[in-house]
Amino acid sequence: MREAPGSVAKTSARYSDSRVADSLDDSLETAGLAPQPAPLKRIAHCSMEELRQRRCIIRWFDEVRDEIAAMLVDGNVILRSSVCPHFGGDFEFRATEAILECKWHGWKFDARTGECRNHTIGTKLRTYQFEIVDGMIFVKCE
Amino acid sequence: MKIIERVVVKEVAVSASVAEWNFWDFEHGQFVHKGHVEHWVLYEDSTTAVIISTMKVPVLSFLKYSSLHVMVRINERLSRAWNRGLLGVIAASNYQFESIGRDQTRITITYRFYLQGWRILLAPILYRQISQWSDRIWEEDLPLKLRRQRVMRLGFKDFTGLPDSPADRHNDADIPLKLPLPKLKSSPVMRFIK
Repeated sequence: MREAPGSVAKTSARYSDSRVADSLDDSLETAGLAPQPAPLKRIAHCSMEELRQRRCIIRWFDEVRDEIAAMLVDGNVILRSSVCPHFGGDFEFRATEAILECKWHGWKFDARTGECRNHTIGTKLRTYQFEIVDGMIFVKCE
Repeated sequence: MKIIERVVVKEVAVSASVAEWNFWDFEHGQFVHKGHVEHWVLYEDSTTAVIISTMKVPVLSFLKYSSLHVMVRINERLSRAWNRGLLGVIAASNYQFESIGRDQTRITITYRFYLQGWRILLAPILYRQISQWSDRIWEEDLPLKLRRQRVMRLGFKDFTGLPDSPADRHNDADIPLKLPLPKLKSSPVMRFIK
């Protein structure tokens, strides 16, 4: 019986001699059993129904240690970090302008691009991958 | 001259440096505090700041007045402020930030108002208003302090944000405070700084 990729990775990690482990990994790769990156976890954020009604739902997720805003902009779902990169403030969503505005210092971010609109800074709001299954929005994370 | 004094003591579940950060963050005033219109930094360095604030007159909120603040960080845990505000009233305040445990701080604020001439008549009103005003400011600032503490414990860096990987989002080290707090030139408070 074939082992799952994850269990193969654990087996190779038990070898204390890295050369042995490397050669084992090489042969496993040839056999199509190379260690695979861990699959992304899925965390339920909110339902599409709820998002349609509220346009923006902001929730803290201990799993990713971040606050994530789910927004509905021009009919598209967008997920971004809701922690202002300035000093860590929280946002208010302005649906008509598709802007996240920091409640602490008024920094405004474009919900579509994540870029700051009223200051020139070298960073933008982190985006999160997601999938919609049976009307629920799931954040995909490491 | 009549001097009225009130002492307000508060405890909060944040580190002393986060409590102090809130005190030295002039940029939040106009967005967080009711009655604050604008704040402009005239001068600041690692221990001192001179600020002009535009505020709404209590009750007659369609009227505005300006006040001048001078703030000095005496040491890591003590800051002082002097200001001349509404009706020319002069006030001096001490802010003591005392660590009472890990991420626990006791803040002792001593307000002193120096009343001269006809302003002595304001003493009873001011005495009552100080604690109400102080409580309101405290309530408005509390969510900022708590959230700032949370993100700093997750390794937040100013102007950068949280670390890229969730696995790196933790920080058990002391949370530093360096003055003046970093500001963009485009910040509204920097409008008149030379």
